Amino acid sequence: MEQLSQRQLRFQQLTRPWRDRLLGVALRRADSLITAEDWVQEALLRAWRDRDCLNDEVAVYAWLLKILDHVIADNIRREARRHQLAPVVTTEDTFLQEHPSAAIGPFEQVLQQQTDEQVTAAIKSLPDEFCSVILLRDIEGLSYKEVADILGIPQGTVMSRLSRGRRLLCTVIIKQQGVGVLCDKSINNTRRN
Amino acid sequence: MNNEHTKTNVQWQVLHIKLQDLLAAYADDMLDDQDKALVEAHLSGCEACRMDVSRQQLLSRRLNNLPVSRMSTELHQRLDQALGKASLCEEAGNNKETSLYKNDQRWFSFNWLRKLKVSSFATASGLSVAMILLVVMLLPHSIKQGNGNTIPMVRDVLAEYQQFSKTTLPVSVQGLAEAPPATWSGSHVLASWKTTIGGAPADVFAVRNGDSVVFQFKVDEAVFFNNPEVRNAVSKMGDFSVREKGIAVLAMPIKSAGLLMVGPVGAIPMASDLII
Repeated sequence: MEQLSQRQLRFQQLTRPWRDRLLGVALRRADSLITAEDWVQEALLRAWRDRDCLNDEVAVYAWLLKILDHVIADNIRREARRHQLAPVVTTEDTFLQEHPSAAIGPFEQVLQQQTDEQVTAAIKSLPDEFCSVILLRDIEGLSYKEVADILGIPQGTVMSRLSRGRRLLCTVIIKQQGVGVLCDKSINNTRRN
Repeated sequence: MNNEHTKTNVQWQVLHIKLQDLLAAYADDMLDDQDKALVEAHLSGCEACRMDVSRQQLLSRRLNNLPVSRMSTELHQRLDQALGKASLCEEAGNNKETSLYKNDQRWFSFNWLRKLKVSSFATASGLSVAMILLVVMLLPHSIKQGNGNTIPMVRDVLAEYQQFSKTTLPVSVQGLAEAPPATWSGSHVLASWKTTIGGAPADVFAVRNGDSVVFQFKVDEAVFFNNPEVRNAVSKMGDFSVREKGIAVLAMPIKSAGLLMVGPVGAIPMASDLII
């Protein structure tokens, strides 16, 4: 019994510092807080079940993220969102070429004006294969190798998904800003009238 | 002549499409030298790709600054209960009792401990060698020499320590938490003030430890976990240590923040002596 409690305590010591960050990742992919919390709980239970895989050579956070990614993939697959067709946006894309906010100065302003919630919503709207790579690389700050290990894909695929995902995210954010501006204009016009 | 021009144009288009997928890695400076040179040659003649790289860098920086979500106390409790239940079910099933000791070893024992077991407990001289090794290995957790200043938060705390430890300490400011994040037997707070570490606000506490002054920095959690080297060390050993010209830095996660302790080598208490 004492051995078991000791093991539980040690498991908690290793995993507890990462709970907040796990919830952050889950929240940026889930439709609701409840779903995100359920995913984190399921991931930690799987981690406890598979704890024999955890040795002192394994980075705990990357290992937990990999488990969480499997939990999320299982759930998303159920919802069939994973199979949605991912659009390929190139630098030749007409929208990026012609929209005034796509130029560097205006785009930087757009990014600064967007709230954290708006940026998060834009990430969530991406197809899952882009969303997961961007979350792990740009928000969690993992290396390309760590992202590749967690998602079980080659590093070259991480590069291409990141390029396409960021490009798509830029267009989503610019379009989102356009909607915001239109709403603001409409509110102002209503007030004037 | 016209054919030659068309051929060059087609080759350029093929390369342009091919390099699209490398632009993120170029923006992150993650390409090898050969690919980097190829992309740079292309960028010099392609404005659309240059703009794309700039947008990607801006976007990446913005995303990197998104705040870390906080878990509610209720959810922490729920997770503790769920894990407790899972462990109780396992105990009831009793299906792993034979591997308890083995699992513990595989999980948490460190390689050096195993080596000590194998090596020298047989003779008195072996025992003394092992004890010396044990003391040496216990003292500096994962101490790294020299290159700590490549990590922005470490560079910042070292600079702050070097600036104030040799001159007058700043006057304490109102609004800081009265107690420093960590205390230990005989510790005494001399001053506390606010500063910026890793680009985010941080609290500093100058604490007397015997004849030395140790600075405690309570830093933003996102800043603390931003560096993969720190993350890996914390995952494996619970803390991260570095030495720089006779000054030691000990970094460890605390509740919703990170703690960095800076002081002369030998003056920083061991992690096990800290009350956090």
